[in-house]
This record gives sequence, C-alpha cells and structure tokens, in this order.
Amino acid sequence: MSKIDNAIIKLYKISDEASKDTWINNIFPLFKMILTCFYIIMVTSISKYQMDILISMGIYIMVLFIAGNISIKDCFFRLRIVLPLVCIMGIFNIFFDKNVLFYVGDLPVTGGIISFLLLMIKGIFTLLAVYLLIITTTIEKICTSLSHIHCPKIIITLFLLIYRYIGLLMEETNRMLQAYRLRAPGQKGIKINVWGSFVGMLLLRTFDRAERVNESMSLRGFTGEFRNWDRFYISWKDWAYFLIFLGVIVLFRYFHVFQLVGRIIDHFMPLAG
Amino acid sequence: MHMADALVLPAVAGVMSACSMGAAGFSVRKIKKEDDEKKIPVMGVMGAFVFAAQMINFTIPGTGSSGHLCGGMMLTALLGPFKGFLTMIGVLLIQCLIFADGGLMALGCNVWNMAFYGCFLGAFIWKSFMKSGVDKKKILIASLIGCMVTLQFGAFSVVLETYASGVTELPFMAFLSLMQPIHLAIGAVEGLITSVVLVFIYQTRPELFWGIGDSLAKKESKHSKKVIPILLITTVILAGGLSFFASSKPDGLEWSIEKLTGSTELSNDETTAETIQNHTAVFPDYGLKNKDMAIGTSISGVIGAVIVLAFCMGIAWVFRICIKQKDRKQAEKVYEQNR
Repeated sequence: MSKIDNAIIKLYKISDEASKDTWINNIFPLFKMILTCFYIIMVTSISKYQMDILISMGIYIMVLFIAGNISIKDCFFRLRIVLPLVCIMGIFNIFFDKNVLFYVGDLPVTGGIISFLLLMIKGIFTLLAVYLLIITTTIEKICTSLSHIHCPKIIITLFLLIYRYIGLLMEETNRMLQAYRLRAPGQKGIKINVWGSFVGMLLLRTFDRAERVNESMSLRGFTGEFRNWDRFYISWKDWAYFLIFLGVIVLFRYFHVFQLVGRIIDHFMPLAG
Repeated sequence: MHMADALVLPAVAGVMSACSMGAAGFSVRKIKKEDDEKKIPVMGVMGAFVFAAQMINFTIPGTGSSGHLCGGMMLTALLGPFKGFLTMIGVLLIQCLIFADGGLMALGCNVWNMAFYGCFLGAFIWKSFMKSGVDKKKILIASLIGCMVTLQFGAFSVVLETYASGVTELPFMAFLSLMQPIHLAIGAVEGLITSVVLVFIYQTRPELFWGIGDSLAKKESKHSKKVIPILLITTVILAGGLSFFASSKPDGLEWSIEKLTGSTELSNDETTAETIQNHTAVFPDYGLKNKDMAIGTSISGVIGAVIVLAFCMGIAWVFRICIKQKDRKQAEKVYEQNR
C-alpha cells in the first residue's frame, strides 16, 4: 500500500473513531484540549534525570486508554515518525554525559543513558496524549474549542477547510500517481522531466476547484467565517472529568506517588530489614 | 524539521508560540484590512494541495533517493506572505494533530521555523527577484535561493530552540554543523521541485502569481539589491562556515551563563527545583524503615509503582465495565421500546 493510501485510511479512521458516541468522546472538548496541553507541559518540564516522575505520568495515558476503550495498536504506528527524530537528538547524550549515576550490578548507568531514555519516553507520552485528544474529539469540536478561546475565526475556518479538502485532494493525487505508475512500472518516484507538469497540473486543477468552491460559498452568503458552531453545555460530568484528571496530573507530577505508596505499604508490612 | 514536544521546554515553546501568534495576528489583521476574507476557501484548498503534494516522491537524479515538496515558498509565490503564512499554520496544525508530525506544544516553534521564514522571508526574496519582471530564469533562481535560505534560517532556529531547551548534550557548534549542511541539500532539492512547478504555472497561467502585476510599477530600491547577496552569504556562513570555528571553548550561551553564574551548567536551577521538591514532597527521603539501606528506596518505589498501576488499571477497568453495562441496559431498553 502506498504512502498516500495509508494517509487516506488513517485520516478516515481517525475521523470515524472521533465521531463515535462514547462517554469520552462526549466530554466538553475544550476541557480535553486544556488537559492535553497541560499534560504535555507537565511531561516536558520534567528534568533530565527524574525518571520515576516521568514513568508515573504514564498513568494518565494508561487510564484513558483503558477507560475510553481505545485501541493502542493503531497509535504505535504514529510513533515511527516521532521516535527516530527524538532518538537522533537524544543518542548524543550517551556519549557526552558520562557521569555515572548508579550501578546495576557492576554495570554503570550514566546520566546520558537516563536522559536519553527519558527523552524517548517523553516523546512517546506526548504523542499518545495528542493521539488521545484527536481520537476522541472531532475536528469540528476542536474548532469549536478554538473559537471558545478566541482563536481568530480566519484560522479556524482555514483549518476546517484544509481538513475537509485533504481527503479529496489526496484521492485525486493518488489517482494521478496510479496513472503514472501504470505508465512507468517499477519506477521509484516521479522523474525529473515531469516534475513540473505533474504537480503543476494538480495545482491548476486545485486552483480551479478552489475558485469554484469560493464562488459557490460566496453565492451562499459566505463572508469569511462559519457561524453555526455547535453549542456545548458543560455538565457536572465534564467538570468531574476535568478536575479529576487535572488532580491526577498534578499529583503524579509533583509527588513521588510510587515511592510514597511503597513507603506506606512498608509501614504496615515491612519489606526489608 | 518538525520538532516534537519532547525536544523543547515549555518556556521555549511559550516564547516561540508568542512570536508565532504575533505574526499570525498581524497576518489576520492584514487580510481583514485588505478585505481578503472571502478568499479563505481558496487558501483552504491550497493548503490541502500542499498537503497532497507532500505525499508525492520525486526521484533525485543520480542519488537513488527521493525528495518531496514542503510548500512554504510555493504558497508564498501564489498567495502572498500573509495568506500563505495562515495557510501554512493550518497545514502544520493538521500535520501535528492527525499525522503526529510535530508536537502540539511545539507548534509555535514549527510555525516559526517553517511557516514564518518560508512565507515572510520567502516573499521578500520572491518579490525582490520579480520586481523588474518575471521570466523562467528568475523563477528558478528565486525558488532555489528562497527555499535554501528559508530552510537555513529554519534549521538554525531548530538548533537554537533545542539548545535553549537543553535536551541534548551535543555541543552547539557540532549540532549546528550537522543541521545546516543537511538542510542546505534539502533546500536545494525543494527549491528545484518548487521552481519547475512554478515555471509550469508561469507557462500556463502566469496571472496566478502573487503581486506580479503591481510590482512592475514600483521602482526597484537600492536596498533590496543588497539584501539577496547578504542572505546568500548568511546561508553559506550558517551552512558550513561556522562549523570550521567549532571549538571546545564555551559557546555564546554557555559563555553568558558562565559570566552570570560562574559555571557553564545551570546548576542553580537544579538546586531550586530540588528545594521546591523537598518542600512539597510529603516524604522527601523515600526510604524504608531501615533508612541506611540504599536498596530500600528502590524496593519501595517498585512496590509502590506496581500497586499504583494495579489500582489505576482497576479503576479504569471498573469504569469501563460500568459504561458497558450502562450501554447494554440502554440498548435493551431501546429494544424493548421498539418491540
């Protein structure tokens, strides 16, 4: 399957998942957006050796995946884009930071190894947080949230229009690519002598389509912004979701919860000594 | 060049977001002032085109590899800097949300690195070349220089942002000498693809280009003539020149920190963070009853982690079962009603 086929499938799959009528999908979208941003800020603000804090931050992700009945399988595909980049940036830490932090048996564990692993885990967690947002919230709801925070209407409308036309244009591109491949079997990409005409034709067709869209929207009274945003009412469930998860994120970010629970257990049932 | 969230600190992301929002606000105001809001559908469809065009792989002759279009310079040539910039924001937002290409928190950085330079600097270069008329040669040179210069600035910003975030131990100059030449090559390929597409447009529909008609009437200023060589020199310096001066001595940022704190490391921050942590932590030492045992802390941590994980998973599972039961009851109720 080609790259463009994959992208089209991914686009429609995410759209279908986000449109489902589940409890997590029906949470007030602005709360989900705020929580996602807050979580990402909390995760990225963890300093380079605080591994225990970072691992405990995974609880938020894990709980939402289980409670929301969301398949984790699909999102691992997304990691292949982010992880190599983060890996390239972080791998140098192993060579430059040779400060030994502790030993595992006789094997020294340096600060570079810890900071490298920490960077990779941060990359995974932040990506999963965004995935959780997009798989449970439709683009329309995200646009509504953006309008609630007074994001300029032009940007919101533009965002929505791009999203609407991506599928259409990718399918058109795919058809052109398929036609090209049939005429040039076994060729890796588009040859240099047809670069201009291939993309140029697509561009001209797009421009003509854009003009038609523009004219038809103007005829229907479009003045630059969509006005019929869905109205959302915040229920006690939305507030409960928001406050509970806000508390969970703060708790796991600022308190060593794992060790705290371990200590309490040790108090009642001594583990050593 | 899309930066992931893990590679930037919230402070750096915040500053870059503020800069990008400023540029976006200015662009929105400019579009409203020019009463171009009705052109938004065109911008939207063009944004989707950039997205679709990025999926096409172009064979690079003699290398066996392929490249793809980024689109910033092309959008500028067709829509102008303000509309192009806003369109690129939309494209980057969708790339981040739907395709996990670039982080949500790092969106401000990505907008600055790719859209700001690509559109505003790109527009400046494009306009400078097209002032005295349009021809194939000018389109080719403007696209090539535009893509290479804007990508060099973008790559330089990536290095600065990553370095300011302190996520990598790679020395600044080494990082810079890795990033700039790679992006010079990428810029050259992108510039080549952009130029051939724009030449095709020039041959078929030249009226689609931005600001070509009115630009001919304006006089060419002396200042703009100087700008292109300056930008070219900057590109060459950024790409390769600076790497020759790489040394083991502290770089600018380290030097400044050393002057301020007496050390090249921001050790004071760690201490402050530790102090706050000691104040806020309920049990700062995390030891077992036998506090001398170093392994005690690890054991308590592991045991605690297992219990917390099990507890949270348990709650999540119970919640999921409750929801399922509720849904089943509702379905049964609907079924009964229908019957």
